[in-house]
Amino acid sequence: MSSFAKKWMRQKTRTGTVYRPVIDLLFNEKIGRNLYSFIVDSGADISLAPRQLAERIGLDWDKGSKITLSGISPKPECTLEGRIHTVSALVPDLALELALPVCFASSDAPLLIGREGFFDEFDITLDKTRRRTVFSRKRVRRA
Amino acid sequence: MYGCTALSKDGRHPSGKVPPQLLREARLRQRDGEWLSSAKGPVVRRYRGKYVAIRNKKILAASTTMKGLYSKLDKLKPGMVLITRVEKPTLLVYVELR
Repeated sequence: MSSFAKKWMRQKTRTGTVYRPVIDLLFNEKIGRNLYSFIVDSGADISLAPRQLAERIGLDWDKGSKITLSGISPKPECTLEGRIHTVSALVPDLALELALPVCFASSDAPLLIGREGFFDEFDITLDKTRRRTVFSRKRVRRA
Repeated sequence: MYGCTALSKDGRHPSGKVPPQLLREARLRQRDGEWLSSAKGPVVRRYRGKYVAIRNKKILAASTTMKGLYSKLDKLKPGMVLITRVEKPTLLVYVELR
């Protein structure tokens, strides 16, 4: 099997119910393993997670590439520091291990899967009508 | 330069294959995610804006910070859980990197 479909996560907002595309990734932590549900964000350049996850999986947060995160507000006080690390994560649906660059925000942040690394591995169909995402593993190009 | 950590240090069989038992457990936890998605409003409402840890269709721990969630999990030692964030009832928008 080189593809799988994943139902979208239902969440309520003040404007009604929204369904968000998610994917579950398994991380090896210093002790044990846990599964994390990430929102698939095709508009995000890179994946995002809180700093504590980096430390939980045994990374030294400070040793990553330094980056500044900002949202809609242009105010400098609304920015966050981040560090980019490449981590290994397992996609349980395919028993596939990925090397994924993730920006770990210095403070609490949503769990987002962005394009870098992940969208290189999969063709991704966001099927809003059926509220599901189809992840198809890209074929490896041979020289 | 990016830092790097290897999943295979203890999560894989020496052959490189992922142990079936690990995959089975991960798939059980995925069902917990489906349960959360279908949970009634009052169940979800109290966890808005919090990170939650779910196992066997029960929210075992919740916190507004990941640090707080891990602290609770370390006391409970429940085995593998599904961790996610129940977003606040707002629409999600982008984050810019510089």
